[in-house]
Amino acid sequence: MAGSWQSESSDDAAVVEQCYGDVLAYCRRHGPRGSAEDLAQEVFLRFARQSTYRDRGTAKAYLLAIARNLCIDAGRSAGRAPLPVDPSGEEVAAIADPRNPIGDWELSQALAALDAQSREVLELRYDQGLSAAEMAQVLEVSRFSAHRRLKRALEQLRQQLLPADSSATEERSPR
Amino acid sequence: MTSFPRPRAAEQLEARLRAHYAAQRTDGRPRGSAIGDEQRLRQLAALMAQERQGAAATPRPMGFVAFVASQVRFVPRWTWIVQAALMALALLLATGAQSAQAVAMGTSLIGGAAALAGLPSLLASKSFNTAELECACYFDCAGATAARLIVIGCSDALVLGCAALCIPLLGALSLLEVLLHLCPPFFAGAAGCLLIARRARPANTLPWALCWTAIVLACAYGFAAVAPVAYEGTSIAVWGCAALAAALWLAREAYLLLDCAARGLDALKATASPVW
Amino acid sequence: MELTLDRLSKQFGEKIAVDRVSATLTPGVYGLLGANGAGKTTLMRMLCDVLRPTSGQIALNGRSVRALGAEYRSHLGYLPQDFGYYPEFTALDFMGYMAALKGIPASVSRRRSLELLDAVGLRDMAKRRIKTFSGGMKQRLGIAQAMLNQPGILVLDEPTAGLDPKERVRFRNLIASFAQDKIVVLSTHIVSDVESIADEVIVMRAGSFIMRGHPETIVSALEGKVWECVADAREAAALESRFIVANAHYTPDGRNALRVIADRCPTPSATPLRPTLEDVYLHVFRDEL
Repeated sequence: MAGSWQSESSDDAAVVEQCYGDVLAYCRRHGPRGSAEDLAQEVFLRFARQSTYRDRGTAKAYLLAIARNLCIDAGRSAGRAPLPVDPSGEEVAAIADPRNPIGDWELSQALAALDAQSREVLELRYDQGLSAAEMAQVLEVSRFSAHRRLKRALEQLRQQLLPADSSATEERSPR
Repeated sequence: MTSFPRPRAAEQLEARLRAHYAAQRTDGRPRGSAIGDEQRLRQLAALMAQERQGAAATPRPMGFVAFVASQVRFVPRWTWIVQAALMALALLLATGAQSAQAVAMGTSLIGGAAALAGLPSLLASKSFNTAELECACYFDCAGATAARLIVIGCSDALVLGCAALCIPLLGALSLLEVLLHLCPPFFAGAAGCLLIARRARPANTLPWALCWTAIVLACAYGFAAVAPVAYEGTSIAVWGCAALAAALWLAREAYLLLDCAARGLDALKATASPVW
Repeated sequence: MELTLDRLSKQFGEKIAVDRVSATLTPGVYGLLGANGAGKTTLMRMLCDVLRPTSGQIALNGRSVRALGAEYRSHLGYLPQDFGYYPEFTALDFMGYMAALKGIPASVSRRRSLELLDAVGLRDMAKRRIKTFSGGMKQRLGIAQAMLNQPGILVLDEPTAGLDPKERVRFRNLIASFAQDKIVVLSTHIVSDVESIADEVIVMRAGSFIMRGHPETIVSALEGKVWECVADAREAAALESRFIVANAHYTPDGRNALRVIADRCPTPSATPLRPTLEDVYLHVFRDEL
């Protein structure tokens, strides 16, 4: 019994090294303001407390699944809506500051216009770099559902960007 | 589905999304929360190790299947002895040169006795007054009763299966006859025993159960004399119906017993039962 | 950890055993003091999910115990009064049986059983049958099984009843050592138990909590109401018929020295004494004695 626990703890250092940044970024975006680091720590502690992640897909997906639930709970008790939080006005403003052009202002606006569920799935795919199977694990839905949500989110985003994009794309795709 | 030009635009959008999120990761964030802080990560890994040790010290409760398996050890020894004796009897009936009628009667006896043999372990909580302790545990009285029913049920199935296998195999009676002589006494006997377990006072359960088993066997023998199983369509149908009715009664009694156990000490205390 | 009782009641036919009890319990040792029939056992059975309340509810950290079900019971350790056991079992068998019921996996159960038997001083009796045990040994086995699942809530019903004084002290020390960071509810009608180990005393009568507080606080309620009276036989008889007499003994000169509990000074020559918890008990239960 002791032997197997020790081998898990050497994995811990590697897991923390690889995934802490991702988990922290998630908590920043979805948890109540200022509590990202505490939440991130709690995610890793819960991860350690529960059974080995080998039964449950990848460590990262499992960590993000825990993070998602913790952020939802934290948001609830902080009195906000249970769905993933929209990027606040401040964050969008910081991104959009013309003196400090971080990211893509146009894209941010388009993302802000989507519903929270679509934004979440895009974030999991393109920020966290999760596969469809991993996304399904985090969102606690089937792979098929996860894939469908992603497609729908991309389509919605395309719609939002279309008026500005019509000049950017090389060829117009038939509707 | 997707037309040929679309993938290029899609790829561009994806690349754009990735770049957008990547930019958010490194810039515009409050100071003092550098992700690459080695010290902090090492501390976190150490905290995780502590959590693991804590978790190891309080293991999660075992599942119901493991619990049922653990109950096998606590079934009284003589229950197993009786079951083994019944299997030996089945072999004897199969190999011995008795008349078909004797074999039929012996088969019914196996059915009735198997039902009776499991009774004491079901009664244990009530007879030894351990119900109060058991109700306060993770697997409460209902869990303990269910586990015992399953263990005894499996054991009985083994005994009956053995009889159903050897007797036809060694030619004394046909399989259908064996089943029809075996099952009604077993189901009816077991159902009656469960009823007695639930309602009677602990001191009286065994005597009542013995009476009931005797009645069941007497009925089985009497019925066999009046409407022998062999070869007649209607009598087979009648026996079949009896078996079915008894099986349904057994299911109901098992359900009521579990329900009684689930209701806690109110239902299990001897004083709550009628005076018989 | 917080256990909340909200207007908990239990009725058996016409008889109300527990009458709308409300309380909030946090980690510490609670001594539940009351005469027989006060409802202590019924209350404890409800705490342990062994009896269903007629009305009211119990909540652990805000979540109803009924909803929590098995999870709540996984935090419990219960030692009933006169607990039953399978006589053919050895102490180790019994611990193994209870461990299985508490969902403790086999890999952990044997080691923990032996550790606990060691802690209660029954290690060398581990392979002996329970029917050979004395009363004190059975009680110790009882508390060992209660500790198997490292409970956060320990409920002990009259744990020292029937034990001789030496056993009783040993048992009290055991409880004190196990009680760290737990909610321990201990019912008894032996006052000295409560005085020595309880952080808080709850006095129960006719199904309700009539007094609650630190032992010293409760005792101070009787400050100025306990007296020593020295009297001859006739006066002593008169005092006994009018007041509660906690104790009586003979003085060297053959007169009676009575410890009297009275709201006002019973005789001109009475001297005041410091009250004890036993005095409180006698005062509260005067009508039932």
